[in-house]
Amino acid sequence: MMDWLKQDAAGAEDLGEDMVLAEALRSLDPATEDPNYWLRFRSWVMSEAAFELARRRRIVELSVEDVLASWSRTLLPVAMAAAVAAVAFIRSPQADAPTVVTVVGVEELLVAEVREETQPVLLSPDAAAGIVAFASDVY
Amino acid sequence: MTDAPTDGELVRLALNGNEQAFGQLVERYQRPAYAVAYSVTGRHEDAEDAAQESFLVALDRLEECRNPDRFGGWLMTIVRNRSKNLIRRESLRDTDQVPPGARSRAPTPDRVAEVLQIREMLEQALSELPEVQRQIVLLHDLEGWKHREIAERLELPSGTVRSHLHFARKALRKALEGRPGVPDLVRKVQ
Repeated sequence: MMDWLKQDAAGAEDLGEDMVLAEALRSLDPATEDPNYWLRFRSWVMSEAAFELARRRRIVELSVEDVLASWSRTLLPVAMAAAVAAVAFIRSPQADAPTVVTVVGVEELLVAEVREETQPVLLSPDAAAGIVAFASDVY
Repeated sequence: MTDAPTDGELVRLALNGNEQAFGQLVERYQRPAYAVAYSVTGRHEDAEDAAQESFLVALDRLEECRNPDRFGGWLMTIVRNRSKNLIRRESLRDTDQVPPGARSRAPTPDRVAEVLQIREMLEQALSELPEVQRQIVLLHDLEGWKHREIAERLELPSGTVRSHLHFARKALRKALEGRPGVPDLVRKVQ
């Protein structure tokens, strides 16, 4: 029986070359009939890729001055527009209106909604007497 | 003797628009790309279109190649996806039309009948294999890639590659053995 496989000594790594099959499969290689096939294949790809490659080169070749100049072309009008908008806002009637400020103390704020003065009563020096009176009333 | 630049080095140069570097990548992977495309489409014209387009897509998206040293595997993924998209589109169109750019099959006086006959047999036998087996057998036995390279680039375990290759070869040999014309080739090779 024909030994189709030229298996290596270890038998585990590569199955090796199958000469017969490789020869048969070569008929699928377009270069079998057209020796310049792969040259043309590559030429076609390279001609189609020329524009993209040139674009990439242009990006790399941009100097720092070019980048700053391109930024300034965008940034300056934006900065000018922002400055004009800020001036307009500051000069608007709403900005000129006087601001009414009401001064409220922290303690006032804390007890503003509290009706009964429970805490001061409980914390007063007579608090203990009040509790005893309450207990005696209840029991 | 100078070492050939690695994929990573070539990709980094191509990112900056280096034409020579991109050309080297095309030269290095045009055959495997065609083989993978052929394993998916099963037609020369479609394989050619898909492989060529894949290089252009790869160039457009070169920044997305996170590991430039594994450019080959990344490219093969693009080739597979482009090929699948192509046959999906083709199935919606009349498949009898040959797209522009198809190679000119000028008849050569020697071996033309034999080559055509073997090709037909192989095309038929390959079409009966699972897609992954077609890819592996073409990359290994036509393009000369090693198991390790195939495993790495197709992101498959090495053992799986070996077993797919074994079964693909077995099926192809069986298909070829039973047909006329092939034994002559076998004798010629030996």
